[in-house]
Amino acid sequence: MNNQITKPQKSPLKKKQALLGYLFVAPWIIGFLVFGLYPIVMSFYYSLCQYDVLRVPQFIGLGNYKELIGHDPYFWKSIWNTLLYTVVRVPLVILGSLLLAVLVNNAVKGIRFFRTVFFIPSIITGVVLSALWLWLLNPQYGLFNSILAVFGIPGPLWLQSPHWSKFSMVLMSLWSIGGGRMLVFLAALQGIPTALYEVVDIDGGGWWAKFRHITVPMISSVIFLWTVLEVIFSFQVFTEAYVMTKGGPLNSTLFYNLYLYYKAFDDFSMGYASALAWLLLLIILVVTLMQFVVGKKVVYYEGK
Amino acid sequence: MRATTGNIMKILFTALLIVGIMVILFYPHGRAHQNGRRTISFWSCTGQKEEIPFIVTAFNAAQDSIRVLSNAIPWQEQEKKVLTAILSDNPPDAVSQFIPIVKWASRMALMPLDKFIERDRFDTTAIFPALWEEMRWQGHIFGIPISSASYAFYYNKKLFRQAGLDPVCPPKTWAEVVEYNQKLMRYDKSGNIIQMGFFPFYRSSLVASQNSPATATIIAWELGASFLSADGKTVTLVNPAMLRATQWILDFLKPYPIGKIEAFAAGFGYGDQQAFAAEKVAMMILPNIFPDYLRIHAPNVEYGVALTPTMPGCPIASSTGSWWIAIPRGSKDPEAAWEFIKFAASKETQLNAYTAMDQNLFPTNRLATADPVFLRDGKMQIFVTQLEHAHSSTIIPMAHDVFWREFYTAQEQVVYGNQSIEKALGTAQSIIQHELNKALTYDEYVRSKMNFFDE
Repeated sequence: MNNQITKPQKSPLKKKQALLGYLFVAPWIIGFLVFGLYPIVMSFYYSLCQYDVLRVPQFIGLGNYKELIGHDPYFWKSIWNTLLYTVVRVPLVILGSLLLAVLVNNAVKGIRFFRTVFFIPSIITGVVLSALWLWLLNPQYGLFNSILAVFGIPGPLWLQSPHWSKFSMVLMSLWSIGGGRMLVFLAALQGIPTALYEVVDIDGGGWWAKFRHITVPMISSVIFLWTVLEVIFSFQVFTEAYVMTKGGPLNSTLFYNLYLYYKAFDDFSMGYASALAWLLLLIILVVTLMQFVVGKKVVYYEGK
Repeated sequence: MRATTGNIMKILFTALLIVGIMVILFYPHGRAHQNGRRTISFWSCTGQKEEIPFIVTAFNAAQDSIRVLSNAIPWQEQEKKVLTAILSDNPPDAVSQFIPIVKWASRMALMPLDKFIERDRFDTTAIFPALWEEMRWQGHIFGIPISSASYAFYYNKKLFRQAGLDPVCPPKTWAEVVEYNQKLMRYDKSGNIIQMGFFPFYRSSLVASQNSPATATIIAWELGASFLSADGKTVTLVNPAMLRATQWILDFLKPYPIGKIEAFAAGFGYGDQQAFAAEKVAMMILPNIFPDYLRIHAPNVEYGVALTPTMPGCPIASSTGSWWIAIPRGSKDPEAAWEFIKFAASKETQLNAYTAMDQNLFPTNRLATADPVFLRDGKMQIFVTQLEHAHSSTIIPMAHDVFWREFYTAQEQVVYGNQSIEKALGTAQSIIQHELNKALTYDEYVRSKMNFFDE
């Protein structure tokens, strides 16, 4: 009897509404279960198997993981390549976007035009961009080396030299610094109260003091968010290497995801590729957690 | 509560909508019989301008009992598309592909054709041997080659004349290739290479898109190389012939700094940017389809075709591969599919296909290539001879992609001077062997679980 008092009976209308609610979210739920959760769970199971999609999986326990970590030179090579790419690229794109945002935050005439011009390059998709840069970076006919030649500098073999290839790809990724990232920085910049800058003016500080003591701390949460995201994106770099170099020369652009792709879709070693994917998840998770630990100390959240 | 007319209409409408969607989704679109004719589905990627392959049109016109419905599948990810269809038990009745058939046969994606071949006394000797052997796995035949590529030695007559070479005397030996190359080298004012006589260094990057087989394997085959033991279990990439062939590549490239070579090769591209079409490289091993390619992209190139050069005292060797047709596991009408395959492989069909189409792949049927109609163009005899001496480019079927990745990596290591030939090939061999061992172990396990051949 007591139960009935604490837990009121649902009216038919409520029941009907609940049912309708579930019905409306059903497409997403079903989609998630079938195309999201099921493949995720299965990929973990397959990572413990020898499996080639068409035949029965053979359970081998941690065999794939052991081989990857203990015996596969390409695993470590691809981690090294990806890590180097990330470490060089992330600070450059963050700084580039931030500086560009500060630049277009000025209220000069025609600023909207410049904002648009800076944004346009970022709408080009990866494959097209790669094909374009393949020619920009061409050592004999490319724009870069032609310009360098005017100043008497012999241009490098951008993509054909194992020493330059990764850096060339970093350079290429700077192409889109005026994209979505810049816009978010711009929005954040416009949210900083002008009074704060006036305080610096009164104290006699210059532009550097404003940038260092007002701008950066005030938008540090946005910078932090983008740093986390960019690290994740960098770990997933694939298209450029797949289109431009196929991982060469001398495996210098064999990035983690490219190696994973070769294993999964050239060799059909789905079990091995699944293990690679789960290790990537683990690596990204650890790196992101580390970033959050550091972030706690340096990031300022206005709301708190 | 009394249901209003509006509510009834709503329910009816919803029910009709659901039924309609179900009908659209699940209606069996591939009807097995059409006007009394059995209908089978055939999937192929077509590089021709004809949307429906010639063999399909010809087969449908030639008889009344079977009708082939052709389905063109896009090039991108085509392998995965067909494999997915097979896996979901809804495959086409016949499929045309060019990837190593063993990759699919070993995955039990295809039906063995032995019983059809025996029953109908299909003339297996009519197919070029290198192409026929590609179709074999575990002693069974899994497909029939329908068209192929035959590679020969192309040379640019204009560049020969400019270099003071006789335009009707291409090099006959690899030593002569080195000599000719030295005469054909051209540099710009800054010392950059702008023209080479021959280019032997194709690696895994875009340079490999030049449609030319790896020079090292051609030379190694001439010297009698074999890259896999007879039982298919041991990789023998490090063998005297391969060591000598790689040494030839290294010696050939030695006079030119690797940076200059790389910068030169970075200018190779597609269409009229292909190295031979752009007249950047004067001699190149290219497929029989290349004259059609030149007609489209570089009609002014004046070229000759010859047999591939040889090492002293060795026979010629060439590389090849085929487009085959096979019957996927789960095909609804294998009998009809087999009739279609037999038709496509016949001498008459291959000859007709060759004369009817704009861009021609090479016939796989020797009887077709021996026909005077086919040999009208004097060059064709060269391609026939080349194909008779060809080896399949599927060298380690069970570890095909790994083989080629490692082969090119080893070549890079050697050419860059990072590793000795023995070390580079040895490393590649051990990696390929490791992958092959894994594939064989898994294969054994699968066959203990799935009894495929006795089905």
